[in-house]
Amino acid sequence: MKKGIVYTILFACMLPFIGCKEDVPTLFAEPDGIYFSASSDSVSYTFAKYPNRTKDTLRLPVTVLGKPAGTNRTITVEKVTANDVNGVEGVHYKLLGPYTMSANKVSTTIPVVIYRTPDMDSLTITFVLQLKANESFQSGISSKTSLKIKVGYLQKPPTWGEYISTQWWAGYRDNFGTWTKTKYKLILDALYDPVSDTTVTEFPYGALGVPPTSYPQYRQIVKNYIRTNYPGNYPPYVGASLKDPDQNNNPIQVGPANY
Amino acid sequence: MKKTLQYVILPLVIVLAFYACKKDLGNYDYDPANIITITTDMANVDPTVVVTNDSIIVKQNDSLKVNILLSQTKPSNDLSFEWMIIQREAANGNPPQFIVGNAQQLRTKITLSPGLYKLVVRLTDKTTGVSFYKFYQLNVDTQPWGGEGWVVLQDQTSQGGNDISIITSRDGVLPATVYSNLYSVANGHKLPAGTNNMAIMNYLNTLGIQKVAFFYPNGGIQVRSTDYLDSNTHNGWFLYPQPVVNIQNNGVFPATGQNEYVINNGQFSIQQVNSTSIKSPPIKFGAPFLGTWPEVSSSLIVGNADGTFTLFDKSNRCFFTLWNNNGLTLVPTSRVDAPNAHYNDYSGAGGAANLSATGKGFDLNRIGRDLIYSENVTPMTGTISYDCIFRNTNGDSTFMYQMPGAFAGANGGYANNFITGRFFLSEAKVPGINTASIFAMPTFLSISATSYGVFYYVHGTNKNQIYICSPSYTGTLPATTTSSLGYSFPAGTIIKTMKVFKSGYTTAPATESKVLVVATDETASGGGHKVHFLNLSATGTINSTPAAVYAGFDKIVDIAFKKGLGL
Repeated sequence: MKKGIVYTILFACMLPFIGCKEDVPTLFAEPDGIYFSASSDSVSYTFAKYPNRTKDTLRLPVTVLGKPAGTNRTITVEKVTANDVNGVEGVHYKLLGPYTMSANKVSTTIPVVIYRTPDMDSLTITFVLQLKANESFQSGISSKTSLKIKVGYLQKPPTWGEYISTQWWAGYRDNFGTWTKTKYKLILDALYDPVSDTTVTEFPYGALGVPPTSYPQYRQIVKNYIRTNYPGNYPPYVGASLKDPDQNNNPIQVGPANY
Repeated sequence: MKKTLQYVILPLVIVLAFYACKKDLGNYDYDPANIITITTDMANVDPTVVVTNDSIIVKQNDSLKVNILLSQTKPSNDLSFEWMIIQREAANGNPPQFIVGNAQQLRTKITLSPGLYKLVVRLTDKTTGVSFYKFYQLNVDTQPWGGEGWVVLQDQTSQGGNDISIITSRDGVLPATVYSNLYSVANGHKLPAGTNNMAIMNYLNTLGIQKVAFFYPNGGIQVRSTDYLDSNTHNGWFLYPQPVVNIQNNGVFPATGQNEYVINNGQFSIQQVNSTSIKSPPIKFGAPFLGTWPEVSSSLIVGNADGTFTLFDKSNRCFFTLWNNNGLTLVPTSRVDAPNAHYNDYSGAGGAANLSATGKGFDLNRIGRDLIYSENVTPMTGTISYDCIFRNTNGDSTFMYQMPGAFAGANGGYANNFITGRFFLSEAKVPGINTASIFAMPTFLSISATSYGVFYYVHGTNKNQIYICSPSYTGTLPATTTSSLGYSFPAGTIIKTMKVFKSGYTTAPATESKVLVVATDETASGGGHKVHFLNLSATGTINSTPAAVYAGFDKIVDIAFKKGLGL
């Protein structure tokens, strides 16, 4: 018993010396990961914003989960097949691989060409890309190793409103009226700004009388565009005209709208 | 336990019961707080600045000294002071210069834009926390050349461009000073050569803002209204760039206006300037309202309410009316946009006879003549009446149509049933009318079914003579209207422009519309370039003795009255 007490005390005396040993951190030996560093799990693009473009290039951001390397590293990207994917590689989009993470970099963008196709008049095209593990990277944050890309063109903005509603909606009869593809395309063209190469695609509720731009100003621009390019749309209906096949071939009129 | 109850709790309860019955000797009398009355120490302020106990007029960038006196019911030295400048109208928000002092006596420099504000001193008795306030009406005035007066635009091509002067008088009654070269002194360069017109616009008076703009071929410049510094060009005026900039008219409904209009290259646009939009600059003109008219006249008729405008289609020679109802629309809305059909078919009692050569009526859909000039002949309140000068295209006949402003609303515009109002101005009885191009209309004469006021015009050939035309149906129609020589300048004088004094003030001054201001080129007689203030009599005749004459200008291009801000 007495010996036991002695050994115990001795052991206790040794503990401080062990505790004073320098702690050398262990190395994290896992290979670097890589992930899509977009702000959400999907990216949306509409050709409506750029009415003069028939193709564009998306630059999808990717980031290394780890340290920069001294050499270029290959990024492997593959398309994903799933039920909600209707985009066809080579038709709706084209990958421009091989993709590379440059030496001494931890982030880059991977370009993907997208095409405006006739089916986008009525469909939102969706495709999903997946980052695959390879000799340089293992997959990174699992929830961010894939990215859904949605490409649209002539889709009705969610805040359009209805013909019988109030003046605060773009779709109100005094503004643009009932949404149709042909009318929307006309509005996109009318509001196109060649300097910025963009047009106005969104018409939030309530943008009436709010400076600097508002529905009265937008609709006047569109009305002038119709009068100038399609004078036959207004009385006395003489000259070129633009009819709406989705509305019994009525001539398109806005501010006030005829349908 | 029993002992605890007996020796501790029970005695304690008894003691508390007696204590509760003790008479309350506390002091519950109301003690009035210190009441402080603030007055202005008029003996120790500049009486030209602190003009009354609660009114201050100070020029922008001048120092302001206000001394106050305190009267206390319970004198205290533990006081704090805070001097603040706030907007006169709450909707406008506080000005950038807000808290200006924390001592009893105010010493500060006023850097605010000219306008009307309120100066507030808040005095807090820190012993009680009670605050007391005194309010002053604060009028931040401009330098004399930035305030009220007649702006004179002059051609100074030989000096590199055009420039402006101001005559610091509204009507020539009080002595005035002429300040010259104001634009170039402020900006270091002249207005573009060819600057041929200017517009001075007064918005809702409580906004305390004013727009001064100059127009020249293919462009325009906007300057600050108080010091004439460049502030903007035509490139910043339109929501979408206009392919051609040719500003032909720019104005706003007087005094209460928020719908500013512009006619650019024959097309009409508006922008709204109000307490909401000025908080979200830049304010820009929307797209022009295009229709069946290729080009509208630069003259227009403002409606009976802000936001209603009647325009003249130069090609189809007919009127149409626009109403701003969250965007411009043609009214009456039941009519489609078709030339010569914007109003219902003519329906004046008596029918087509009204439209014959000997009739007095007119069809707004089919004027059939060129609009030369239009101007209001009544104050811009209530029912507004305009005189419109029309001329046949070949220049052989001139007419004056007197008509009210249009009504607003979906059923607005006009009923198109005028059976009177058209006057034939025979060259024989209204000399020089067929070639006249300078007109001016007063607003102080009664306009009714039998009284049609007068208007002034410069003889088309004898350009030194002002005639007074009195529209009338007396005698044999159609040519019964006559005119008479009202004022004649020395032979060789060329009248460059003339305008009736229309102030734009919410409360019209005594001389409103009773002064004819005439710019002349008297170089032929050695008089140089002058501005004459001619008083008008109660019947519209022109006083033969000018109220004032100012000389020494360069070649005068245009004149315009600029009112003081905020009134």
